[in-house]
Amino acid sequence: MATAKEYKEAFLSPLFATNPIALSVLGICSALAVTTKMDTALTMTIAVTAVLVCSNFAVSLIRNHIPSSIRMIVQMVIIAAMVMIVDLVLQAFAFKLSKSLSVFVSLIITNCIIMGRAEAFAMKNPPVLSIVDGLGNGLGYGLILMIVSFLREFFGSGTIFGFEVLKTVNNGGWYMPNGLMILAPSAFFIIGLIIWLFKTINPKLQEGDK
Amino acid sequence: MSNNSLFKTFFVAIAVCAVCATLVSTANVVLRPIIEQNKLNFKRGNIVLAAGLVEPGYKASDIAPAFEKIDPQVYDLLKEKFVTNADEFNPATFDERVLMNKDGYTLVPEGEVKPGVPTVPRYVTIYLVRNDKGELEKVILPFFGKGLWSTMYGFIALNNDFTTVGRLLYYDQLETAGLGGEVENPMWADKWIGKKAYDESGKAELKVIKGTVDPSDKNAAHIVDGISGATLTCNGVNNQIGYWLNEYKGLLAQLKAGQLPPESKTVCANATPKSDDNSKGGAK
Repeated sequence: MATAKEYKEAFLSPLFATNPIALSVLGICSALAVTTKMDTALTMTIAVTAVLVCSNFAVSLIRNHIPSSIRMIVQMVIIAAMVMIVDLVLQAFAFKLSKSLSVFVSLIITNCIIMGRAEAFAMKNPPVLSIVDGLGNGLGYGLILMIVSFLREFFGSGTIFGFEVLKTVNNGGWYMPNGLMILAPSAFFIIGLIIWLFKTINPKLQEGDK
Repeated sequence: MSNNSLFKTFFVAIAVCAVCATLVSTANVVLRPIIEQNKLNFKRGNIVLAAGLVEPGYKASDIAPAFEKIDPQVYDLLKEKFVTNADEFNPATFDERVLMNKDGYTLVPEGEVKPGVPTVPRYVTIYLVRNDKGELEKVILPFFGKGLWSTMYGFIALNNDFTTVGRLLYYDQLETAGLGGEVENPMWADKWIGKKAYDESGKAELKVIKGTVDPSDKNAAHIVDGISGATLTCNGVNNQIGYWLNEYKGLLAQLKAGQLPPESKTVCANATPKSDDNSKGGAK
């Protein structure tokens, strides 16, 4: 049985110490694509976390029976099934959001975090611990997404979760929105700055000179 | 037994697939009615938006009351007349997309500009908006055709001069998100408002150009800014609009002459969403 310390470690370390975006630089594609608005970023976070928890649990459950020759295909089938179910649930209960997320929901399948955790963690650890790891990584991913989307939406549109904070010039206010923030490159800059910040606060994360 | 034996490899592969397939199909069967309802509601939301009965940013609960002011009519494109026999097609529930590929209910597109699809439905639902006196205010025409990757579906609303565009919008397409998919962007859709669909001689003249429209251009009333990175989708848009505006000429001439069909007051069973919780459809 895993100890309480292991659970804590599995949950907390992906938030900062081994954050999937900031440290492993995984899941960048979706971090660029869905972070112009905070509500889409939040939905994406929930969707990815749900898929990650379910796939980690399912892979861990049958980890001792997966033939190593078809290991990755089995993981992929499980992940793809979870994503299709999440997509259907979104279309049924959050149709408007599923429209604005469009293809990015189906692209959760290719989010490296999910495959990465299945392969690196769920294949070696018991189911409950894998769920906690999935939750931690999902939230670690979500944390970065929320920071990036907050900055992009606030400076790019003058709103937070769609509520007007800075009145833009187009709507008769004073704020001239920063157009760069709406475009994908701004997410690169912000994520770059976050990685720099993480590594400055925790120098242990810096790679040595090669 | 070893995990890597041939039998076990096949067994695990088949078992995993069977379990996953069951889960996905169960979810599909259970959720499909709700999704269809959402799609229908979203389509209706776009109809009332095109009609100008709601403003962009409308709520899901605004759709049903606004849709009651719409008069749906089934129109026969081959005979160029309204189908007034409600037994054949109930205008409130008729969906031309169901008959799109059915033998005997299709037409082969002809003419210079083609919509990019091999057949188009012979019967389409058009939507009339009348004022309190029963005079025609707006007519909303469905149109569709091939973009770059997908068939794109939209509505064009014409004011009662039958040439000024009230609103043009797409509500269903699978073009590249962020490029061709921008046809669904309300900012772009707004650019069509007030454009003229036909020139003085009555020829269909409405298209997307490359780059931005110069307001001093003598043709400025007939052209709309292009979407950068979406040239092929925009070509599709031009083909669709060109084809359908031509196709609807007969209908518009009839409406202009005041040949209105009797108002269809068929109450549609699923006109109102069951509850607002599962009907989040609507434009941004």
